Amino acid sequence: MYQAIIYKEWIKTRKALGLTVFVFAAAGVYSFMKIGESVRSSGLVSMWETALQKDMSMFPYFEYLPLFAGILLAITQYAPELQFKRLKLTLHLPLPESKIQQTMLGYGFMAVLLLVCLAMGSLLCGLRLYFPREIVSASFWNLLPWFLAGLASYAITSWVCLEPQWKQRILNIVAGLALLSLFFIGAKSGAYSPITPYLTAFVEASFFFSIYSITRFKEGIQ
Amino acid sequence: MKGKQIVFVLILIFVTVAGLWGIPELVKTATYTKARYPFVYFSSIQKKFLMRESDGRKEPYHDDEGKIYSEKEYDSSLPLLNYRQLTVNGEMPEKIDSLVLDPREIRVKQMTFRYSPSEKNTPETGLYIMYESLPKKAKLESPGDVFRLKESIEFIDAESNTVNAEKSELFQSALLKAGFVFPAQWTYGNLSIRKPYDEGYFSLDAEGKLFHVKMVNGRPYVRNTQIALLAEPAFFSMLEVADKRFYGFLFDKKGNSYILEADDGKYKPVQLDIAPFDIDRDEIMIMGNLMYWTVSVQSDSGKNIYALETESLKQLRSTFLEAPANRWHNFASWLFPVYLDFKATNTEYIAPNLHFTHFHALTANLISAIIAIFAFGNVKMGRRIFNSIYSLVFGIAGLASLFFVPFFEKIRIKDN
Repeated sequence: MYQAIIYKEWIKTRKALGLTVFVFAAAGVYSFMKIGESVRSSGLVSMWETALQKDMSMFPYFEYLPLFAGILLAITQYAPELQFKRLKLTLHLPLPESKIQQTMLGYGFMAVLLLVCLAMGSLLCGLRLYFPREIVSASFWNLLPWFLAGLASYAITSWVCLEPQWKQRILNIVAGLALLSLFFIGAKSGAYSPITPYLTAFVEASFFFSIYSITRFKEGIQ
Repeated sequence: MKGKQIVFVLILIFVTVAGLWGIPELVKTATYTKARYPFVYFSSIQKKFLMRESDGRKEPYHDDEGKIYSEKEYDSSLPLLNYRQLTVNGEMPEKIDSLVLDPREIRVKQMTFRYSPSEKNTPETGLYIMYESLPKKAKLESPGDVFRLKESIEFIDAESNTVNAEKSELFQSALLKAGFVFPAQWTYGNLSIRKPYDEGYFSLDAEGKLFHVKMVNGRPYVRNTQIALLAEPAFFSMLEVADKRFYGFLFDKKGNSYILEADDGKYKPVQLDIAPFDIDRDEIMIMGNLMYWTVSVQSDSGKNIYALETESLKQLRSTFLEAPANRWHNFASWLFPVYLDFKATNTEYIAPNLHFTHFHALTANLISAIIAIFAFGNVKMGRRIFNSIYSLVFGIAGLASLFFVPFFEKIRIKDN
């Protein structure tokens, strides 16, 4: 049954996942093309100096990509469930409801996690060819809040999508935007290090938010 | 649904946190005005602080005793600041007191220094650029490598992205020979190539000894400064002054300020005769000239301003300007007994900071608690009490979050 649920989620999200992987890959390739262009035009030494003195972000195109990836995946996964209240049918599958929810959310979470880990790993490994570990580490800290925002945006969009009542959905959007904005406070690379444990705890906790919406859905809130 | 109440509390807490930050942030955006202090400079003629207000008042020029000046009187009272204009106008005095004024000397003795705590409280990459301190050409040239100085010193060649073992060994040996004990606690210097000259870096070793490290003719120059301060050095800020009198400003852990003088190959800390300040919170600005330094130390409560004699750095006069009233602080002290922010002005780091304002803001919490009793429709008494207590504790943010996250009770929960 678990495999069947995962397959159902895959059917719903495969196009969105494919699009996301394509956009991530394109942004990654373009970022390295831009780095290569800078290296050719001004030299590696100059690039290193700029990276050190100006805290230059190597991957500016990735600022909002994980955020939109999380939103897109959650919408494609849960919007169909809300159409004609198909979620009711899903919840009636021969498995405990909590297991069904966990499987659906777990699928989405793992998909976003895999995507951001692969993207982060590829970008940093590529960067290591050009730069010393300190600059790679600075880039890791630069990317981390944006990639955590991808996981949080998936969880928050799921919470919003599964909410049955429009008024409450809008309130969830407002609260969700306030919480997500914490991942985008303009700061130097590494500035997020003190708050990262809190943001990670929030990302973990936010995966349970959907239970609240599903409970309201089951209770027939309109 | 199992755990539904836990999930409710979880969401309520996070939404409350968002409210404790977001609501005050909105009010701050609508009401905050940056504290505007007058420009203050110590007059070498009047021997008083002269101030120029920037709030649009009719008579903006006055001294610290309240005497009003015209613009012309103000300009001519600060000849060491306005020497270019006064020279053009033919109004520059030939001497002040008994000191004969030499335009070149006025120029090289003029300097400005600013320190903000965010310079110290900032993430560091741990990589530095070692320029040649005795360059063959007039301007500095990029060396083609960078170095790290923590557990050891290592130079990394930019072209190959590998450690330059030979150069690293050369500097490592020089550091060890000079008595440097690894790991380094901190290293500060000016990474910019756009500076008049290079003096390398100052690094504090594991035993709290301050070392000067630079490269001269491609060779390491490492000196134990052997300076003794009133407390352990906390921060060094390099400043390339035109007369090369000193290397920069040094602050110790007790907030004392020094310049590190270059004294014939030796290092001599000269303490600024000002009160210790909080290097993690307060800002300092120094405007120096041939005769006097004007030092401003800005804290939350206001600005302490000192006039120091340039040679001895002994204090001649001081004054205090109280921080102007800020509408945001007024609002906060009535609306939010406690609020949260993530980006403080004294640090580059993003971290949760809880601020406590004033006890009379508890009135807002009390009003929120009363509203919470009646604002949620026909709910059980237990819920009313919870709403009220929650709003009393978390104030406006608590009340708002209760609106954002309704109880399950309202939707007739039947447990599975």
